[in-house]
Amino acid sequence: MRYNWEPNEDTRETRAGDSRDAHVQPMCTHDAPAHKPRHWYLLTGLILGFLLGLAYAWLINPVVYANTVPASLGPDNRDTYRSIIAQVYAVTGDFERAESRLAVLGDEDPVHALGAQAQRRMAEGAVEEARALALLASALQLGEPMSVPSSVPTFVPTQILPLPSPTP
Amino acid sequence: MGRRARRLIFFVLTLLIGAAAGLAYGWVANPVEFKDASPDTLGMAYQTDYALMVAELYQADGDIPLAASRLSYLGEGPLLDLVNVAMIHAEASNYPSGDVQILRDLTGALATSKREGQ
Repeated sequence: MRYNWEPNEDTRETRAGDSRDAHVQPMCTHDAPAHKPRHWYLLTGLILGFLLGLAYAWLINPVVYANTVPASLGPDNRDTYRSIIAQVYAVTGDFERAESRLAVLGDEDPVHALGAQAQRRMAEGAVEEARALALLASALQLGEPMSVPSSVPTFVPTQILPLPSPTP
Repeated sequence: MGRRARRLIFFVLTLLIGAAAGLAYGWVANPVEFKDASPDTLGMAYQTDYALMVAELYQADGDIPLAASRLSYLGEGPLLDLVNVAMIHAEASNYPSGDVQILRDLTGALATSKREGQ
């Protein structure tokens, strides 16, 4: 690689009347690699922007869920919901309604979930609640209502419960 | 336009494109998962059904403190308001009149209990 740091004859002639002549620096005839245009700043901007956007979407202003379904409840809240369903069933004997109410909890095996919860509640001394849970578990297993008090009128489910909609 | 200014414009442009991609990923493609939702985020239909269940149990046992305790599952707001809203929703959604009536009974009992407590 050969560099020519001195102006040649042609250059001298051209620049003879140039007032900027004194400021002209010797030129390298070969472009140095450092002068090649770089576009890394574009990638930097893209990555930086992506990270900022992600931080905003996950940390500063995450998706807020409203209109959730009982299936999205935490374990303790699901237990409470399930227990109320069982207690209502024990009082009303409305099997269809209890079944449709349990369905919104989304348990893979509702009979098992009810049975396990009944055992837990029994161990904790909540006998009545455990009995109600076990009663509903048995009814579900048999696929038909068990004998429960019939003094309270029964109600037929008429509502199709809606799906949740996330609101960012 | 100078080279410096052009670079700045392109940098800001890519920054905005990146931010838009980040927002789309964080909000749409892979939003924060909400696993352990609390009962107060339940849809109105489910809150109404829960209030109805409490009302059904109240109809059987007549225990207003227990009903109030069960209702507090739905949130920390005034219980009377919760049941009122549930009753209005039940009426608007054409629940059977029997259901609306027992919600009304629970509302009345809660109101009476509140008055007596004051």
